[in-house]
Amino acid sequence: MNTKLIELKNINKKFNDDIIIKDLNLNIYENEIIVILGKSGIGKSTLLGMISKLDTDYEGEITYSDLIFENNKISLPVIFQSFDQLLPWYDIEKNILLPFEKNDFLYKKFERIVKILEIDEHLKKYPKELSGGMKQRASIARALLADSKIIFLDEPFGSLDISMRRNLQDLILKIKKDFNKTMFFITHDIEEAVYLADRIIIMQDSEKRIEINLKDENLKRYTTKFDEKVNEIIEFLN
Amino acid sequence: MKKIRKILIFVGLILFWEIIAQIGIYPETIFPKMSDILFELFIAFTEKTLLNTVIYSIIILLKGMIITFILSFLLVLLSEINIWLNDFLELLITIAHPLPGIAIIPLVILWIGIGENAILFITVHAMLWPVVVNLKSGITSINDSYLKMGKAFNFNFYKKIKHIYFMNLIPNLISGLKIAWARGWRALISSEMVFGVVGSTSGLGWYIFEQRVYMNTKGLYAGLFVIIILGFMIESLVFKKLEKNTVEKWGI
Repeated sequence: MNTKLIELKNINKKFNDDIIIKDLNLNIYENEIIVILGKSGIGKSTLLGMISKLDTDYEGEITYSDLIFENNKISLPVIFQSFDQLLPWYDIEKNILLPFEKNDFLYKKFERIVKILEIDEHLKKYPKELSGGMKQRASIARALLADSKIIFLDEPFGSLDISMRRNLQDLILKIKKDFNKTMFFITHDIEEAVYLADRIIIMQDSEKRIEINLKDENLKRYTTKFDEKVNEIIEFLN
Repeated sequence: MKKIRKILIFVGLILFWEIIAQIGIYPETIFPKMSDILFELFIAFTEKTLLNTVIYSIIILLKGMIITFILSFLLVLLSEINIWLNDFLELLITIAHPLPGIAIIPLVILWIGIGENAILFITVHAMLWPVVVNLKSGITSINDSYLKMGKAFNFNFYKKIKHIYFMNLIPNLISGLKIAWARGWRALISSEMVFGVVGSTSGLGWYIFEQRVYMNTKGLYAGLFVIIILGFMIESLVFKKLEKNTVEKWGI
């Protein structure tokens, strides 16, 4: 088994009097893509908020391994669905570099990342001038530049058309391989989940969850096995 | 194409004016020839009488702009810190915003006297409130995604203020300053007309008033022309450029 990066113990989350998440226990391991699947409003983003430290108002315990932060910088990068996570008043280069302290090492890493993500020709452009897919690439580049071993993605491709979506899904798999990153990925698209995930957690309600392990299956699209898995998950979701 | 049309209309108007004046329907003291007005404008500028008044007025306006800029940020910042200060500012806006600069002149004379400071006070009063109102609405309408991003990437207080809050306010600041400049310019010219010569120099408002006193209608028109030209220049050169390089470029 891989090294444990984050451990969630007995997590409970309430919003006013509604219980959103009840008794959740979950481990997140190094170099895996863990996909949270569920209908909208079920609490997926709430869960991401708690683990990524955006929301600290919950019961229970979340422990983080020291391994997460390469240079001891406590920042957990999140990529959201909204394209507004890039500041419109700065060009792409400034947007990507803004959160970080500039030094030669960072700049070398930056150059490598933008090349791999194929946005090196758009660095002087403003977000307004880029397509949705390109904007998400820039957001991914910024997240990769952070010193964190884990990246959180909250339905990052939800507003994109199907071809751009698939394109970026392949990019996610490439990033996982090349950069050795763990990804905590939220989606309500079942095919996306099956294609990307090493593990899928299906949230049925605040309490019922099903875990599906796909680590060694390496499912390719348009195969019978892939479709079978998708159908199986549709059953669970209904 | 629109620009060319506008220039053609402008040239046409000037020619029309000249023809009417040349026919001599109206006495020259009321309706001077356009050529005479332009000549007067040229003389007034070369003799520096008009130029000095323009510089004097613009310097007051710039001082007013700077004070407005600092004061508006200070007021909005204070109102964000405390709910009582916020309510106080809202009340102050309700009272002061609709009050025309010219209406408080008698009060200002009592308080400050009739010097340059009085003109500056009236100008700042005219400019401050539209900027404050615009900044307030900018702060309340900040996009939540920017703040979420700042939190996710651990932006410290300074970084958040500089890169998110301040930059987010720029469109509001520009539209506030645009209204402020127009209001301030009007207040400045009219208060100059009331206060007249202060020290050895005077402003454009007094220049126009003086030309009327001496029945130099050509000079009066020349003064009005300068106001129009300055207004056009600031609107199209300063604000249009500012907008092009910010709001339009960023698409917000």
